Amino acid sequence: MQRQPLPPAAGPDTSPDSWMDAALAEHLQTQAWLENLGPMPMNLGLRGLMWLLRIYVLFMITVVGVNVAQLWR
Amino acid sequence: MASGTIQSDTTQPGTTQPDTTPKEEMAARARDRLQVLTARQSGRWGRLLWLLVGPGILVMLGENDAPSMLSYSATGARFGVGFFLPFVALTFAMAFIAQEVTVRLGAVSKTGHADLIYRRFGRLWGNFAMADLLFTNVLTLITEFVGIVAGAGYFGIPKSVAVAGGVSLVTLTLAAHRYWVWERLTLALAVCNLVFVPVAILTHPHWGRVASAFATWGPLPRGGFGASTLTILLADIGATITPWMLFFQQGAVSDKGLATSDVFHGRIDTALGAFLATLAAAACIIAASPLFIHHMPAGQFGAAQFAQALVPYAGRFGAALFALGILEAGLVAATTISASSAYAFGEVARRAHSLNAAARQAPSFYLVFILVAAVAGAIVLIPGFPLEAVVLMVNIVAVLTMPPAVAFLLILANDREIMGAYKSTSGLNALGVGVGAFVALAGIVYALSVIIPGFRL
Repeated sequence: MQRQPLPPAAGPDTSPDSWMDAALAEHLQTQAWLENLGPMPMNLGLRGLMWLLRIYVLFMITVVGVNVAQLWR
Repeated sequence: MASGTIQSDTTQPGTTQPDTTPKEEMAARARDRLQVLTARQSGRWGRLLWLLVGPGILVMLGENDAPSMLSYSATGARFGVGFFLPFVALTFAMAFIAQEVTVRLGAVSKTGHADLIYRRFGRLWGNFAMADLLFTNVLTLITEFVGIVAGAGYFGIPKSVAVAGGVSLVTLTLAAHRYWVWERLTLALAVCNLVFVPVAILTHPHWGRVASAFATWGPLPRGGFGASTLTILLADIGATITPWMLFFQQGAVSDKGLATSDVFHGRIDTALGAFLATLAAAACIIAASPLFIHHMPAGQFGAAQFAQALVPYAGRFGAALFALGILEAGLVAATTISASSAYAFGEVARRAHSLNAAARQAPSFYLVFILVAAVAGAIVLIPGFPLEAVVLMVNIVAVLTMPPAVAFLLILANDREIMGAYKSTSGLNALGVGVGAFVALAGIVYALSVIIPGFRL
């Protein structure tokens, strides 16, 4: 599902009832769209990349621990 | 919008709420939008820019935090004016590339970074991202208070008073319950980061050498890039590119209410922030460079020691400005990092999270905002806590957690369902992948320098 193009920004309307809706038109439309935004399909390559980066972080945190221990000595 | 799609703290979780954004929050944002629309329609471009700048300058000057300024001081003291000046400018250019994406993401989706990660990648990957953010935010906040205490210590202010003052300031900025007021107060404080510019001028640097360093990327560090130089190099990268910046700026852009028509100004805001932050960082390196020229062993200096050591070169006034700069850097970053934590918490817990919301409508948001700062401040007061190790490693840890954060960022920026016409172009993708690869490779080189004794580039 591709997102519908947003309407052009509304001009200021200072009448008591509508000025807020006019000023927030784009925001209100996005809010409604966001409610239905679900998870994205993740293929094997993407999952592999995410796990690889996770392992990278865990490994690097261990290296930092080793470095701190070295500096402490 | 910041908390438009989720429940207010006063509503029961799980109940159907088609529109639960508090009226006051909506009205505040609508008033801000109306001013923007009026300025745009009347062609008052200066006023429009004034209304739309904020998140970009705040995130960049916020990242010039206490450990970052200490890292730049250590760089200036150990290597003088040379390779690291243009290198720092390069890291801020990379920070701009990453942060520009958050402007588009925030303006298009009107929600925060954590919310988008949870929605699109699911709970498992969202939890990983949050663990990285929480870990680095807590560590960084502790170092902000180390900076606050050290900077205040130069003026004879006791530790506990400095911590209480820092937490009070973070709390006071929230008092108006208005994003605009909070942003302007924090901005006013953040521009004081430029205090390092007069300090640099007071040390009477050789401006020809400064210009030559930018033009030639030299001289290179003496002895090449060994383990200790690589540690400083990584710390300087960590002083400009960190996970909290992504969460903060997207949260602030969405809370400020930027629309898709404001993306251009959001980019200007971010570029302006990157420029100002580069100026302050370069000034800090230049200010500390007399310590290199006079062979002062400043490797383990704290803020007060740096300020004291600069007295012969910058004078008492310059040294006091330096200490004030570290204090200010800690205060601004304590505020912005607390904000990034509170936004992320609100998005993940699906609780109201806006600086436009009243305290009764978003109690957990404001509680987290103040609590993280208070806990970090309290930790600094614990006798015997290994603060030096935290200060030394915080920027490095921040860099090492960046590659997955950049991956989330780039995938979201290319998510057609979210971004539509604002999806990243191939040029922006190439730059983004370049930043991710650079950060990941820098981490690998650092790991090799730790694991292999005597390793050098």
